[in-house]
Amino acid sequence: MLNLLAQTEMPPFAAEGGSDQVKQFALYTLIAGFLLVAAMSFVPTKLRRPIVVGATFLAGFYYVLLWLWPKPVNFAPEQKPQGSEHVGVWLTNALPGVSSITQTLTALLLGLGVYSVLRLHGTKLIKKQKDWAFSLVLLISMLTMVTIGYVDYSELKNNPDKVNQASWGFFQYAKDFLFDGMLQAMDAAMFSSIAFFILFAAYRAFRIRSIESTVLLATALIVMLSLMGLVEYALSKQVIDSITGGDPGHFMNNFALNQVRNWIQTYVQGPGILALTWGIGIGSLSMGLRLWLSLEKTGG
Amino acid sequence: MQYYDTGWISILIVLMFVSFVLYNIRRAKTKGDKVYVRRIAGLNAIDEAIGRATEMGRPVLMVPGLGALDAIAVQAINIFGHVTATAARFATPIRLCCGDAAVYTVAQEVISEVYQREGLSDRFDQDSVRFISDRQFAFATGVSGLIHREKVAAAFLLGTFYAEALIFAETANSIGAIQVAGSTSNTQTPFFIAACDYVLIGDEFYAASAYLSREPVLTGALVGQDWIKMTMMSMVLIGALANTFEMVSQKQTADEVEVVTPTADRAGYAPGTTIEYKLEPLSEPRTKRSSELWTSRLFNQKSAPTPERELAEPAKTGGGE
Amino acid sequence: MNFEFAKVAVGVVATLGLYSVLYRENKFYRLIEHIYIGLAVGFSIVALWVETLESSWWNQMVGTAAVPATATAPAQPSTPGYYLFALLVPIGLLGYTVFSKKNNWMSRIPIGMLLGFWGGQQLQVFWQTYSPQLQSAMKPVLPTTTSSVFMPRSIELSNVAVNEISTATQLPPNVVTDLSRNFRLNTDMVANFAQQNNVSPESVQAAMGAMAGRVGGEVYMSQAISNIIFLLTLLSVLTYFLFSFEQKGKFINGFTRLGRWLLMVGFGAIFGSTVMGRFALLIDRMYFVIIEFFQGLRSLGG
Repeated sequence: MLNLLAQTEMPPFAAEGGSDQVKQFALYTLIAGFLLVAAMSFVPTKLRRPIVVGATFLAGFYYVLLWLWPKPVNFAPEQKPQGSEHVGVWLTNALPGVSSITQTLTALLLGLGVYSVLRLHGTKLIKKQKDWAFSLVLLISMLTMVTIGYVDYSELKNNPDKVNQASWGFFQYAKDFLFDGMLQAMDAAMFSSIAFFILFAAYRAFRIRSIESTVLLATALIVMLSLMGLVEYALSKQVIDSITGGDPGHFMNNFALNQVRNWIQTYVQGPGILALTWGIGIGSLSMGLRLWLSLEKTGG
Repeated sequence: MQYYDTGWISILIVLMFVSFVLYNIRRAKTKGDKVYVRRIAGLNAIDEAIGRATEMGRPVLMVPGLGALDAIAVQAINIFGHVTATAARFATPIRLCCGDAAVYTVAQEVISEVYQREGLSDRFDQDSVRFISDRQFAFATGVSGLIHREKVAAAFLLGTFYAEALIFAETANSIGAIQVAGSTSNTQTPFFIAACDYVLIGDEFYAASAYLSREPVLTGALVGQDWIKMTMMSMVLIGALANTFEMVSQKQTADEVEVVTPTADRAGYAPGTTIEYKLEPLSEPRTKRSSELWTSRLFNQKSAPTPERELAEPAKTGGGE
Repeated sequence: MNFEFAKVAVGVVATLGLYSVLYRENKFYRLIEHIYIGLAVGFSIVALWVETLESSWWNQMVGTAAVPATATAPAQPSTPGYYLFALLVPIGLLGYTVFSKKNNWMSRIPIGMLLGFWGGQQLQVFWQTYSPQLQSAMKPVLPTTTSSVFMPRSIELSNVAVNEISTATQLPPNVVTDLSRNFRLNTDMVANFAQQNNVSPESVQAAMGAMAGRVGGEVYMSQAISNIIFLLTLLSVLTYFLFSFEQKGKFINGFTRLGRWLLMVGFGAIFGSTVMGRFALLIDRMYFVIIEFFQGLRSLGG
């Protein structure tokens, strides 16, 4: 009886989780999907664009419906939807599933990126082009990472105790060495090297004598000084305190360096960036519309 | 006081904005290419940069940033399509480096199509469009290595960039390449301004492909975007004046208090709950707070629960998400 | 050899290799670069299953079986498997037709779906994102009080107000009146004030908050001027980014030029704060290279 109830409660196109049945259905769906793809190569040229446009439209239509369909306010999970609320509740509940679709599709395309890397470096290696040895190094380190990464993952999955360093095996050490010791260290090194590049850029920018770059760098200087504790202390604290006599209620405190920085950030940087953000947001809205309705020639 | 339901006002405003875009696209299609687009300085540099690369016989580098596949990436690739078309005619080699596989897929398709359209398919090398890595600084390392080794003559950095932006710009500068940059990431734009020859700021980036292609869909949409911008500007102006008027001339004399019966102890209200708003007089009138202003009430809806909804059966099997 | 030290050592070598390009491109850099990209792409392939496909695809497709309660964990109900998720594989693989001459149109299906999702989402999120910003930009431009130019440090409280604050904070009314003559105190001064009047610092803080709340509701002259500058910046920058109009006429020209300059001030502020952040990172890295490495060496030696 209870089991029957569970059956009727099952949403459409779903089956009992983890059962053999669901795996069977998934396999059938997969086969049907591939047959469909094979059939698509016989689609006449005239129908190609409508198929692409339709797929694009349907994908975007979900979010448009989610936006436009009235949703019940203050809907508690244990309440039962009525009438048109069913659709609204279904749309809301489907959101995680839809974002899973996006993630899965994006993830499946990574293979194309890997293909590009393999192709470029494989060709160099086979044809013994310039720098082929480096390509070999690249492929070896890639392969090592993949092997060690997956073995480590499956070991951890079967034996969760291995998370503790005390019970690490070879693959955990190897993964930690490659990931933490090398990959992360390289990330940090590149990130920190930006400081040098900033020096170069600032040096060049200071030499360019235009009003705009002067304005930019003068502001930058004020902000940088206000963020240097010592300078801030010497300039603001000492000078201002000598005027106010250490009275925190004195209005001159409004002209302390960090207050000035705050003011610039709130009343000039804030609205300036706000205006830019709006422009970009409006651009995204318009572009989103064009992509969803396939009004443009490229990209979908 | 009646509350405005923002449910409809938000939809109304967005639909109005959508219709601005669609209407202007239609108008541009019937009007032909007569739509005016203001000159954008950075874009005139494109031909100059490609010209230099051709003279020097060195490649042109294009980087659509690190962002995932979205309008910004598509936009960047559209502009790269124009760059490639010119480069293809002069047989100038190109390098397009991607940091996202989906963007790489689109780039591969668009660029090969550009060569086909120009009738120069034989000049297209699949490896000129490449995926480097989707890890931020590995991507940066790979691209700057390429800039050094291939001595690119021009670098186009358009798209979503993060901290790695400056590495590209400065590396390209150190070997004397012309850089044209444009990013919608506001935190990176100042660095591009400091390091690059030409910079597209903010949504100049979006206007760019309309300016370059003069396609009615794009120029029309650009006009629509301007309409939206002007509407938002007037909304800000009117809102600011209305708020000023209300704050200066009117005082709040009573506080609004929410009365919930029976008392709700959590966010979801039980069936049969009612919510009323009661005014409690203040001891002294005071200046209105921002949440008490007309504009705030217009934008923020206070919603009462829908009463009398049946409870679903408890302990549902397998229905949860 | 010590595992931790080996990790630090290889990190230092890699850092030096990557830094060496600052001088010039060389074989050492090239070696590290290729190792780096290899590892990064390898890691992405691992993460592909571990971080994405397993949770967003496999688990959705086959669901999870119910787990009975154990001594440590409560029972987990089963989640249904949505087997239609299997269709995503053929759809995603359509992207690979991009290299085919005949069937490359099919690669537009997964791409179109991704862009369609993105496009539809823009309509959905537009107002959610921009309406709070729009609302916060509607700033009042006239002062509501002329009692002070800046936000004051003292407040004239009526007897009613003194009593209200007094009951709320349990401070005696005379202490409240005393505090109202200068209620912007720093931590030390709060402690002093509390000690002098024999009350708790917390109640003084609360009373200061209440007074600041009363004062804060007003728009002072300085605030009104700042608000005007805010609006001026916002509107002039927005005007600068209008593309479909010829920006001619003295006023419009001046206004857009103002917009550009104010934008540069904003960019300068971002530049300044980011530069300081980046230098903190560099110092951190130098610490890693010099201190951790040499400490490791020393501990290895002795």
